[in-house]
Amino acid sequence: MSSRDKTGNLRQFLRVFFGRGILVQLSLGIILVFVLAALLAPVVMPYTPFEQDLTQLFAESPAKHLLGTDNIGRDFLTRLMYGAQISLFTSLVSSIWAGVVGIALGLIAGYFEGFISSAIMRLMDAQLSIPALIFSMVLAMVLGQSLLGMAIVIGVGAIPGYTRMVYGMVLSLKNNDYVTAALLVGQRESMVLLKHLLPNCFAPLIVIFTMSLGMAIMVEAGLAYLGVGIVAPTPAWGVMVSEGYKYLTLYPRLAILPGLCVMLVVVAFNIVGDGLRDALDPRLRGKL
Amino acid sequence: MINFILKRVLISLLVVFLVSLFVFSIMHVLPGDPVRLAMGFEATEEDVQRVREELNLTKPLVDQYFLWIGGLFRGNFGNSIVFHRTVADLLSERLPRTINLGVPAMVLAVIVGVGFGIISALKRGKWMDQLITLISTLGAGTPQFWLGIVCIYTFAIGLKVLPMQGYTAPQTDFPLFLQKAVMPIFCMAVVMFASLARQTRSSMLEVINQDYIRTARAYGISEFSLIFRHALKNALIPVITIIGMQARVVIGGSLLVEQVFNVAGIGTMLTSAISNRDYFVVQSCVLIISLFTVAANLVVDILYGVIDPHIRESRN
Amino acid sequence: MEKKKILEVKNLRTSFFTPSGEVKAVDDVSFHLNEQEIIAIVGESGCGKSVTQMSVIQLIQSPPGKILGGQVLFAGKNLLEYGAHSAEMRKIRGAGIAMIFQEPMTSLNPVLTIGQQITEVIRTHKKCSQKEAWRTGVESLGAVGIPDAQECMHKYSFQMSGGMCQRALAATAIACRSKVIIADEPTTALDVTTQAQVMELLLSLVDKFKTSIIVVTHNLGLVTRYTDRVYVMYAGKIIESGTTEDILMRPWHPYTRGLLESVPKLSAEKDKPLVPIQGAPPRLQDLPPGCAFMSRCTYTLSECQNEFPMLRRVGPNEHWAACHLESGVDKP
Repeated sequence: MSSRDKTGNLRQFLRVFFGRGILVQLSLGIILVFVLAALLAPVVMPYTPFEQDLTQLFAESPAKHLLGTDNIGRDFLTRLMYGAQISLFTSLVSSIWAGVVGIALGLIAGYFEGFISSAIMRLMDAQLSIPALIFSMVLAMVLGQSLLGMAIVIGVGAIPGYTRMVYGMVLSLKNNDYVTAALLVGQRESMVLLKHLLPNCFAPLIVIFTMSLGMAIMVEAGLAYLGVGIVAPTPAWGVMVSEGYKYLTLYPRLAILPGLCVMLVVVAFNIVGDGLRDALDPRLRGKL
Repeated sequence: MINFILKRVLISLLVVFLVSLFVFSIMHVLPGDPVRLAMGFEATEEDVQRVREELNLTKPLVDQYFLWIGGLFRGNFGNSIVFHRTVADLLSERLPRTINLGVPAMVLAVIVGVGFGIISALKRGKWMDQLITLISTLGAGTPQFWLGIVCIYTFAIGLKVLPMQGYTAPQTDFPLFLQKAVMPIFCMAVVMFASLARQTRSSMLEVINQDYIRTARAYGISEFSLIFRHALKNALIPVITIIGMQARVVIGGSLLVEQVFNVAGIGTMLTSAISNRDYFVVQSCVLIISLFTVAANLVVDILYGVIDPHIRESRN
Repeated sequence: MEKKKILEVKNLRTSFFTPSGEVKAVDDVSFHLNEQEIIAIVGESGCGKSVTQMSVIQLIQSPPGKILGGQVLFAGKNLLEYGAHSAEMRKIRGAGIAMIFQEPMTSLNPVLTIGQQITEVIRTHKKCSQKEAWRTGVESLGAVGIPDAQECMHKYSFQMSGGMCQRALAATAIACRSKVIIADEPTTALDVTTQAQVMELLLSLVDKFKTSIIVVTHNLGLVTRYTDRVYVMYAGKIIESGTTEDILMRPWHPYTRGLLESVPKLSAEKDKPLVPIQGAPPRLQDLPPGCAFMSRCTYTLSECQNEFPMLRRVGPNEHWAACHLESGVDKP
């Protein structure tokens, strides 16, 4: 594909992606805000998420604390921003890890077929028959002593999605006419598959990756709420909701704001994922 | 057809077997000693050892596994180390609560989700479609526990029309059951509804543009019959998959909602059992949940065979 | 003998409103169909022949399409006065005017049996029991030459060949005693022997059931043996019409001649190359003021550029052509 084709495609992609309306731009904006909050928190905020000012319990004054403080005097806004750090970090690490392992498994299953592929797919089935939250909780008991451990645990839950997709892709490619044609000319199967696989997989993988970013944050928040793997005093959003629940009648913002953050980020990732799928799909269909 | 069903059943059994292996090994790999935890630090080492022997925890792992599986077939799910009751006992007390919340949630989600999906597809591009799509997207991204808290804040604390938490069995006091169950059921239904609406919509859209719908229209078939007889049957095939997937949410997906609303169901039991290393509770519970999911998938596959003659009749 | 007109289309206009402009897919098209006649509407892909037929039964996707004007006279009424989704229009579809489409395999619902689909159409147009509808369905399948009609009723579309599917669709049209059958590229998706069979079938329907048929196609070879009259369309307009004999032997418009020349003939000399019509069909969004075919025509006159050629009589047997040429093109 010439470089001119590539820029043409890129422009068309951008046009469709952003042309879907204000929602996509809004979502990207939201994600950007949270990413900035996560990155800049240590720099911008004068407080740490752990320091307590016991003279300022439940303070509301915007002068010293923009969003007030919580039940033991910690600055609320700071905690929210560090919560963004935790959520984004966890989702990124878990999605990458899931992608690497999932794609590898899918490739292996698709290329070798037979017993190996059956075994791998049955394992995926077995994993999927356990609800994600429960699965992560059980695994978290073993691995979840650190944030990285939790990221790995959450990632495992996303592996089957990648595996199934790649497996299906490899299988359908194997049956494709131009692969058969290439084989007839004498090319090696592995080379042919690799050459045709990557461009075709690229788009759906991007979409799955974006969606899994959102999903990971959902799971992370749920686990944090239940106190599994991510516990107080870590400023994770789920933990903050669970802590704030006790004070729901008097200071609802303590429980409601962190949950709102979760929702905004997850919905934003979903909308961006949808937009990507729409923008990439027609091109994909044209290519195939 | 029989071959088809048999094959699926065998695969399902294999899957359940794998799950049992997984959950058994994980629980026994975990650090921490549940017996010691349950009995407290004052108990003597001899007493703790005695209890361990009673629970077969001193035998080699392989033996423990088979003892457990064997027990399952006889209805013996083991004993809860923490609660000092049989797991079967706990299940019979807690399962009905979870089901009484989960099943209505699923039914609600299916009716509203599929219905909205159809409307959305038929009125594509118009404001109704956009509204429904927006609601679905928001619903898919809303954390269940947060939604629960918002509901409690609005209806229980703010408007004071519903009780904050808790659960009452329907046979004890039906109106009270309804009051307490409304919010948990709603929270569980929202997530299920979102994915159902979206899948139904895209399925219907794809089907409506097919040639055979054009043919049917060219022969004067009424719009009503077109939608419900010709289109829906085709469109529902992928939707049924999703419904099957939601089925597992009925039992296993209630963790968060039960926690928020303080319902003593399977979810809360499992949560505390996992942290307390209550082996038998976790093992048997997870196994049952996975069994349920696998059974639901099996039903979905069989339904495919019923609805889609391709699968039934072809010799592939 | 004066033949009676069963369907008459007058000055039909249908356009599609796209982001890149108005596409005049059907631009002032008039044609008629007599009783027990088979006519052909030929032209390249995109010339508007299918859209014309879809407009007759008002199956145009709206948006972006819209029927802008004209009359469709059938059974004493102008069909365009009925709403596209009205009950009257639905009554006509399938029982007055039936349409058979190009891809028979995908035109049948894959999850319903043939029997279910036929009986539903029958019962939509006539009040009768399921049993009666079933019997009519079996009869119709038999009438179109399907062996084992009873068994066929229980089959699904993917269990049948393309030719059989096409027959089943024709059977559905017969079952309700449609007066007019519009066959849109009925043979394009089929192999050659099956093509002949389907055309023979259509011919037999005229005899047996007194139907009148419109065949829409881009294959002139089909036209020769089976049709009474031919209309040639180009860029949304009819540019020539006449009896089959006139069109084949005495084509007037250069486009018609081009179509005839590009059909491979077994009897032609071996070394003579196929002569395609050079160039490509014009974009329907920006048509020139004069003749739309001009850029591809080898016989252009000075008038062709700016003066739009109106349809005029060029032969005794209702032979009309939209061309400025004085005496038509030479015989091929």
